[in-house]
Amino acid sequence: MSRDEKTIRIAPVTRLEGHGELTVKLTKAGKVKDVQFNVSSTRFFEKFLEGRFAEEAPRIAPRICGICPEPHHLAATKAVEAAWDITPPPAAVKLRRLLINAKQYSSHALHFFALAAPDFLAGPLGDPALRNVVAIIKALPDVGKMALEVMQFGQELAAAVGGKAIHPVTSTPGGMLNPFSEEKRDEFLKRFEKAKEQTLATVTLAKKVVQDYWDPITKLAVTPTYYLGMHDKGNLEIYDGNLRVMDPTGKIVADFKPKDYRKYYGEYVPNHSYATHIYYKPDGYPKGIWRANSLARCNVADKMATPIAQEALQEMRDALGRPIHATFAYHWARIIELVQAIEEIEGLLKDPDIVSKDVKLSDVEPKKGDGVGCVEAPRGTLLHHYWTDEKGIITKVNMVVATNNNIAGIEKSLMDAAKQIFEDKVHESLQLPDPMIK
Amino acid sequence: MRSRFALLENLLDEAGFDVRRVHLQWASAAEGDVFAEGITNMVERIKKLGPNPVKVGD
Amino acid sequence: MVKRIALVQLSSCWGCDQSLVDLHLRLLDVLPELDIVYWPAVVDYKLADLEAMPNSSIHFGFVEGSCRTKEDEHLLKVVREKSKVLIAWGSCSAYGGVQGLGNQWTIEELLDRKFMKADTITDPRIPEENLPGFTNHIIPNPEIVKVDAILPGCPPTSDNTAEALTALLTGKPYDLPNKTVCDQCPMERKEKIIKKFKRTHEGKIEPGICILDQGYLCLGFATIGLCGAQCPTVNTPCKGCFGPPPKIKDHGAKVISALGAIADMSPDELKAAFPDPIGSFYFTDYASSYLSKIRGKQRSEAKK
Repeated sequence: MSRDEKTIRIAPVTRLEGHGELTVKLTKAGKVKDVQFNVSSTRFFEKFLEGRFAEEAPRIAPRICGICPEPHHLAATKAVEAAWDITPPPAAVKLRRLLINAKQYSSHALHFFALAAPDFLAGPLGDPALRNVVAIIKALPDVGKMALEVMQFGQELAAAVGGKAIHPVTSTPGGMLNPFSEEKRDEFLKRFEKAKEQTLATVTLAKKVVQDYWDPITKLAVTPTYYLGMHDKGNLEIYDGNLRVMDPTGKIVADFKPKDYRKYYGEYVPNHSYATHIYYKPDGYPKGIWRANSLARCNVADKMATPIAQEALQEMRDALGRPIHATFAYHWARIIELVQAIEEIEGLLKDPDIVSKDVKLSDVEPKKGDGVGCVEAPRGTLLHHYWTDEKGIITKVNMVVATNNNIAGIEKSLMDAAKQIFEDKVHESLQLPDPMIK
Repeated sequence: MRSRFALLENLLDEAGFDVRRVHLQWASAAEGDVFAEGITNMVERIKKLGPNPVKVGD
Repeated sequence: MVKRIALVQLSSCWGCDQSLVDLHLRLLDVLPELDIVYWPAVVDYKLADLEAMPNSSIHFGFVEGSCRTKEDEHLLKVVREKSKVLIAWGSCSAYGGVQGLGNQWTIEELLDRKFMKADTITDPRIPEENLPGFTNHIIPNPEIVKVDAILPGCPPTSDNTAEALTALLTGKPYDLPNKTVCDQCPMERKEKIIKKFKRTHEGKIEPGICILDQGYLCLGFATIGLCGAQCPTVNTPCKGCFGPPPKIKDHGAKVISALGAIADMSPDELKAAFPDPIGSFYFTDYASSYLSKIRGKQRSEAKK
């Protein structure tokens, strides 16, 4: 490093799930030379799943993430079912949809209230001691209580279906090990009305935040990238569907079954991050860098699958267009997805099949083969690919986990933001509201 | 006991240890010759295998 | 009196933190007692802030995760220095965690699969710039620094964490119970003679009857009883993720020992039933097993 350069290191990046540091290199003239998002840990699940009974993968893989274990639990199950040519009973699929939506709901609420909201309620220039959910709970107790209750509904519903919310256990190749009882169904139907009310209250809060922060949202880190997301006949979908890739102009350049992913997924290993950079293979790296997660899903889908969420999506598109490149709009898209999650939960709880006892095949046999299991986790498209031998023992694993899809895009948006801040001094003229927490 | 040993052999093998270095021999107090023969066979086998690549706290 | 608390994350999944958050409204009772001085998951203080604190100035340090990178090792040592009481929080921290299964291979083999050979990789290399580097072998935290208490679990339930926190805050003792999952399990038990083992997806697990009696490998009999038998309660075999009861040093060895007693099968049949003993008999605690530790010593001798 030359004497004239300056290196800024943020260690660690906080309110992040996982381990990351940020390295920004500035030239003497104050120009941004380089921005690195250094993801500094990985645990090698792709290797230590080798040699394991494949039906144990749905128990092991959720340990990849304590916030989104349900998607891993289900992607692992689907991968084994694909490898062994198994179709689970329809009622089991409905239970799995209930499980993944319960998790989508609690995770999106956790992100909004605990990870994102502190910046908006205390302000980006606020005291670090106040910029966290603990301070929110203290300063805005009604908001804090509502946040906890919203998360509780999702987590307890996930536990009711999955056995436990953190590292669920009931999904297995062939179906579910435990049906959903009528008692539980009735309990959650009763609690549902309040949850729906609170969801709509969260939407109102989110809209206020968007209004107050309109200037930074539309100015900072508006980063054109490709987008990846799952859909079912054009509707935003998180359990089972095809994948779409949209280019920065808004053109859908690919629409494929997850099992064909290797034609479209490129994985570039950067020298400065243990999390790799995923990109749209036909267009090369770095041009094809894509982002996944809420905004990407909202970009690639024609519409939401449920009515109130669709109204909310239309509102966002009326304001910001399609595709939306504004990085901060991810928070808005996340709230739109929160609405779809509660609407899907409503539909499933009211479906008489949800308490069916016919939720598992009893004649599941392993075979030699390979299979891809793909779902949408809260943070993005999650893909597990397993190869098994004739005994059903895993011989090889390839995974592209949800957040993995976003690493390159995060770095790109950070580069944009760094230039805007260090070179253009944009932050000095941003219109920011008076913080709610001081 | 044999069952435990069978599973232990599997485990040693998977954990990367040479199962030929482990031997289970039944012998009662009155069967000194059985015991001695078992030990002699084991020693010969170990000598052929050479020093254990795994050494602890040398 | 408000206690200063730090929550530190090594290589882990964040599940223990999520379990704390899942106290939900009970958090409103606990939070006023705590001055959270370091918790990167939720609060914006940086590593430099932690490093600058005076030694033993934090009342309770909770460390989640295990040492997969050199940065993890550094962070573990820092939080040990700065904390009066250090708690190994969760099975990763107490026993190495599921990533301990990686000890079956060398770090070179692990890196090779992930960065050089994985099927979607277009530009293979082992990343090195501005990154900490990996440990050769996962060694459980209690063998790297002195740990004052362990709270196992994958994750510990919200109740487990609340009880432990309450005990710490009120200065009362907190001992791990000398119980197994069977003590908490609602299933009906009979005499154990198993003639054939079935894999989880095979047949149908009948509700209400001991899962091990039905021939499925449920490790509850050798696993500490802290979780409330969450998995057997929903018809799912226990995988032993909370680790062994106190005093048992090698979880898998204990399982093998017990299986030898209850399996009415020939040694060959038993061998054939478990082609993956590491995966079947260990889960979050392979790094704490004798065989893994021997391997670890060998690897560190070889690297010198």
